[in-house]
Amino acid sequence: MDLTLLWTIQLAPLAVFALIFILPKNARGIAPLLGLTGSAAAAVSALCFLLAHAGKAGQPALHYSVDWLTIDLPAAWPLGKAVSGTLKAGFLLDPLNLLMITLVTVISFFVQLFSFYYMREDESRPRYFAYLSFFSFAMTGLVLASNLLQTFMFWELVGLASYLLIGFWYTKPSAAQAARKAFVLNRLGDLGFYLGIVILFVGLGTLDFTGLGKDAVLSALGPTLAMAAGLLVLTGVMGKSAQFPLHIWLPDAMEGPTPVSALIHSATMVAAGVFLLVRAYGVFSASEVTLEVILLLGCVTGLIGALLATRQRDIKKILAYSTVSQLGLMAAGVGAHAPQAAMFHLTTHAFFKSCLFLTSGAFIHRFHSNDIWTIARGGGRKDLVPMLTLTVGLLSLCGLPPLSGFFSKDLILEAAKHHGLAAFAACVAVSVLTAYYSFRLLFIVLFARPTAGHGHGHHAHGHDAGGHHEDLLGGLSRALPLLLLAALSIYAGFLGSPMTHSPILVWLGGHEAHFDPAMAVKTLVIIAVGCAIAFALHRDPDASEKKLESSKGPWAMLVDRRFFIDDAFVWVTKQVGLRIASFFDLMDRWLVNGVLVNGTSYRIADLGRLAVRLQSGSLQGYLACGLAVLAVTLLWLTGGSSR
Amino acid sequence: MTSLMTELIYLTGILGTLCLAIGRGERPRRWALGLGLLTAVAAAIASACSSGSVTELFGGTYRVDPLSQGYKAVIASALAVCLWLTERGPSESRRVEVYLFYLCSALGLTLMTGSTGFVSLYVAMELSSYSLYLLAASREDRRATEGALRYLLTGAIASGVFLWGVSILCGLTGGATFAALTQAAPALTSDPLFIGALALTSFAFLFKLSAFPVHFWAPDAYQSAPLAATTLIATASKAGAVAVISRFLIASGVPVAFAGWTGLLAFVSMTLGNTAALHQADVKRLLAYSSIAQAGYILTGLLAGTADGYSSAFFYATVYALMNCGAFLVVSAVAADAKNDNPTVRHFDGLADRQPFLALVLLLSLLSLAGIPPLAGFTGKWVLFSAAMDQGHWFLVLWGVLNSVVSLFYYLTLVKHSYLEKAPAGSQPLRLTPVTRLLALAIFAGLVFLGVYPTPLIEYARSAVSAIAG
Repeated sequence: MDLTLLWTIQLAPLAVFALIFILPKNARGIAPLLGLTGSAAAAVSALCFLLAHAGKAGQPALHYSVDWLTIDLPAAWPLGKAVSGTLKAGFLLDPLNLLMITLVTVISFFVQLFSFYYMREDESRPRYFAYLSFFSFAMTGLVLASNLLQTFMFWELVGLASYLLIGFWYTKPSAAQAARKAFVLNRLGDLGFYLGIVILFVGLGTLDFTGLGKDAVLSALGPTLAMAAGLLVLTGVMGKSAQFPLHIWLPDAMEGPTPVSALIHSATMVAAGVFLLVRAYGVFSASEVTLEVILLLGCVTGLIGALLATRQRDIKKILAYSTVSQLGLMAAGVGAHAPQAAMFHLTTHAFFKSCLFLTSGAFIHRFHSNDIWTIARGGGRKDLVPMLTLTVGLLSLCGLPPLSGFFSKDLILEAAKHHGLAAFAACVAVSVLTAYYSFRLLFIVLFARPTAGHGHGHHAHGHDAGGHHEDLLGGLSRALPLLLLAALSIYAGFLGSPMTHSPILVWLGGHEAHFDPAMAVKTLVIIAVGCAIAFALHRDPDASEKKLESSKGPWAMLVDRRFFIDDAFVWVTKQVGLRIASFFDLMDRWLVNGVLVNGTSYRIADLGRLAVRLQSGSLQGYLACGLAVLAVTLLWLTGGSSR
Repeated sequence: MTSLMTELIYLTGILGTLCLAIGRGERPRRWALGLGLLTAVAAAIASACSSGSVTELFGGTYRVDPLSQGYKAVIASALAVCLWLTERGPSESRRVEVYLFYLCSALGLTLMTGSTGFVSLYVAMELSSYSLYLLAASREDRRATEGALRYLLTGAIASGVFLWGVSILCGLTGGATFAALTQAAPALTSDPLFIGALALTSFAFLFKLSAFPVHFWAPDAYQSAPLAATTLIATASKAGAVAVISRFLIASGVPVAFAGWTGLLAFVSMTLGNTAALHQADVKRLLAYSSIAQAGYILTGLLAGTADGYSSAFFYATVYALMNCGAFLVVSAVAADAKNDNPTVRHFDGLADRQPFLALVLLLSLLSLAGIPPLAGFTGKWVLFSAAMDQGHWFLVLWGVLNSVVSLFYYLTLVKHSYLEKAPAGSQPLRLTPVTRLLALAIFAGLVFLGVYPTPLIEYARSAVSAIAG
């Protein structure tokens, strides 16, 4: 039974993906329905699974696996030691990924539902739903994998899905470029990941998560190699979870359709890195240095993301930088020895951030603009359902009690405080900034005066398109995911709250959270400070827009140029990468092509001409040649062996 | 009697065709074609069905065993394809009596695979060869006659040398059967006369295999014979030759000096065939040089002298017949469309647009000939070369692999013409009859299947070889 459910979760989206592509052209219209069915099947199976197994702490993990390849290498350079081990393929299910799989399938379902509304006018809708299903397949594979190599394979597949979906509108140059950027930066990280896997396999002879405990890694590899393996695997995480300095692809990835941003680039795929940090925690915790690096990177990423979010005017960019900064917080949580807290924050973040992204999608689809001032003046605040979910999502994001963000962020803050003052300070700063940009967004949409022109445009559009409001199916697929996700953003926090004895944390193997009044007060103060600054600066949206446009200070420039990190990448590529490339280009043209390849082929062709000349057409010649060869060899054979 | 089923089927077919040959015109010809196809298919089925039995007949000069039945099935299947190809060949090569020669030559080849005595072997070889000489000449123009004459004279010399070798062997071993050879061979391995006699005897086999130094007939005969006959020479005749060499070498063993000599011939064959093929424009001639090179590969596997070598030679012979059938099927379709029995690479321009499926089959057959995974040709070369490698012939294997790279060039030239060049203006889509399409599909499936899942056939070959050796 368990295995059937697992296969359903794993294969239903793949079946949908395949089905959509083999559908005849005129039946492609049912693609959204297929996508919805597939994701619903996966989500229901995952929920069944969760209900059957939830709460049973201490229960052994379900482990199904088959041997895939047995590797036996003799001791040889460069390893200097014999390598033997078995690569397996299978499912490993424990509370951690049961939680994650539920998250992934449920949000995936909501996003498919919302896409029904969002993509209804798009020509290439079947392709969209096929890719989305393919992503679900890859993501579930990643989560359910029982070993690191299998994780890596699906890790690459989600990367591919992400590439395809960022570049979904591939005729738009910016989208194509963003897709390429995401792909290349992720490959850069995955290179390290792969090397890390190789080191682990050579050292341990297994890649199963069950065999990757802290002690096993430490005793097999020794402290230095363990650190190297941890740091190398970490580079993969940096790529996927957009940690500094590889975070620069994520904001650009917003070129994809908004539901995609909600699913892949905020809730699930980018969180896969953090998931891996928790999943293979043994590998990272084997070295204290690795954990410190994770903490440092997390704090830096959190600060950079939050700072960059404060000066954006594109609603999706705000949310994207916010995602970067929250991912930084999660990584910091892992670095501060609190993987359960990080996982909890991942869960709540997935709910409220996907809610926020879908909300932004609802605005964007209605007002045909990503600009928050345009949305605000178009009458965004009158659009009740999105406005409500926006408020809930943002409040949860800045951690207002008792919304879900409060509990999870609190735990991370606490862990950071426990770890050291610097980390705590960084996390507090991130929180203040988060509160600031959240309220900035909220105030601008709330306080802006609708202008006649925009309002008119909106109404005109409503009439032209046959009216979004009247269409029951469209309205439902628009409002339903938003409201349900908003509800989850409100209540999901109680899973980890001290009031309910934090079942989720205990289940994941952590300690029960304790209610710390001082911490709650601190959080409130943080929110109040952020809110006050935002109110002071943005109570008049028109003025704040003018100010944003006119500010020219060094700080403004620094933020607008994204701290020059993108420029640094470009500079390094041009100065170092291109020079190396042009050297190899020269070698390739002259040495490889000119001398080796062409030279050899000309000589062979000459040889062929000689062979053809042998075929002169004279029969006597042929026979003489044949018999002469025979005579010579006979002499050689008989003479040679008699001596 | 049941063990001679295949041979009896051929005989029946031959008698039937002989009767039909009294008539003239189109109708008897159609009947003869139908009868021929029926005979070929029945023979293939009969040999496949009797592949479990081992029988020794006629005083140890003829043997029916799994190895011979396997080769017989390959020969009969190849014959069926060739007979089907005559349907669209040039009209003068489509007379009734032509089918008689096809069947006779196939019968000869079939007998070759089972012969275990020198006399029966000689008779069988000449039966198949003389029929092939006539088929090569059946186009009735000056060039065809010239090509066939070259084929005939080279064959006659090879037969003479063969008989010379056989007479020495009989003298040395005191018998004219392979069994006598096997008995006497261990004591003679270092006798120069014995090794010389082996070389002389195998001269005729090399001729059949079109290996250096008796390969000269191949380009001319391939080019001037009608396409269907060329196909028979390139597929069934090669399979028969591999069968005979395997059996002969199993009986005699492979002395070191003899292996060295064969290795040298293999080396020259590969190099000469592949490099000369680079300069050919006529596709039939190109494939002739390709078959010279392939003879080198096969010799490399055979000279290993192990059970692995012989079984992989069987596997490769099967695959080789299959991929050559594929290539010639496409060539003949193009030739029939161009109304030119000697198509050049230019005739393949734009084939992928005119008939995508045929272009695909051509692509797969040629890639398989070049030995690209996951196709059957790759697996075949793999087992062949690994058998040679096990005996330490790494230089030949290395050379063979390098040669495969060279061969890719001319194989891919054809592919390039069919996929990248534009079809000449005004050319029509190329039509295929359903049977041709089915044949192409079967070859396509076979190439992929044997490449991906070769184990059953290789296992069969292993057990067949061990049934003889053990």
